[in-house]
Amino acid sequence: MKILENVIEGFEIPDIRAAFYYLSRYLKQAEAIDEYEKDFFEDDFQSSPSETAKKLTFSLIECIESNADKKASEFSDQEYLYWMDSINKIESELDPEPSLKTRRSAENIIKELYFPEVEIKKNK
Amino acid sequence: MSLKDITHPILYSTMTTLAYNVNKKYYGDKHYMWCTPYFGSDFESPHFTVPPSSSPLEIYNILKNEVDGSDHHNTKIELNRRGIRKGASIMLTLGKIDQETHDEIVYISKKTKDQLFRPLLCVISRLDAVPFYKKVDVKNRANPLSHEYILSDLPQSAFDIIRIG
Repeated sequence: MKILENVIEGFEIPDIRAAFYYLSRYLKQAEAIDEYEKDFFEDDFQSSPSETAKKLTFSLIECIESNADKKASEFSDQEYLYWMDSINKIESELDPEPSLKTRRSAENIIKELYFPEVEIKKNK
Repeated sequence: MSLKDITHPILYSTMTTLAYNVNKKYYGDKHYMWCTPYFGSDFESPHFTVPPSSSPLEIYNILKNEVDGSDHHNTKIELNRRGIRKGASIMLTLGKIDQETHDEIVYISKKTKDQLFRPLLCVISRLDAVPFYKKVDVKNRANPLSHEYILSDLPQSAFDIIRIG
């Protein structure tokens, strides 16, 4: 059953990506949103979601909560993990396969990734 | 409350090793991070105005457990992978990277092993951070007393990195 896929159909990848990101924030913070009055759309001024992404986020929230017949704040751990896994799977398959050149370049960069050195200053 | 108006000298943030690498390589060593003056988890205190899920220590421990394999769900790691992709999407829209670079970052975010999501604790001087805090319009902030701040384009010179545990 393609529940979320039907909602995102016809939207651009950046808006879908952003909507899934804020949807995940909503799910993650669901229990705390009322208590801490958090705005799950809050972001840096240049990272703020488009109106399209915001509307899509609300559509996805409505879809999930109506499907579950409860608010996200009432989800069990299993329900939370189920939806987060569903979002991850769909989001990670949004992009077309990159070119061979891009893949090779990325593979080389992955080999170069490193843990930053942590300076330890000892008292003399 | 604005970052300028609080009295805490130090801010804390947790980022992943992959996010750190991406920021260094692709974004000119400029870092985007959420930070708070609260490192720990004194959730009972009336002065603690961030939820437990925003505590740098909590985030650090969750990531560490996922990397070490003691939490098999990897929810936080997957969320970080998606955050890196969302960041690349924004940088592309802003014209700060080209399509090829965007595609490379997206590929890296998907293929990098979980071990490279080991958490790093960033210790930031509040005074050094103030110029990199772009205050969100108050009407967009649900809780004006919240002590969480978004820093963008923060240079490495403004913070130290610590690994704990």
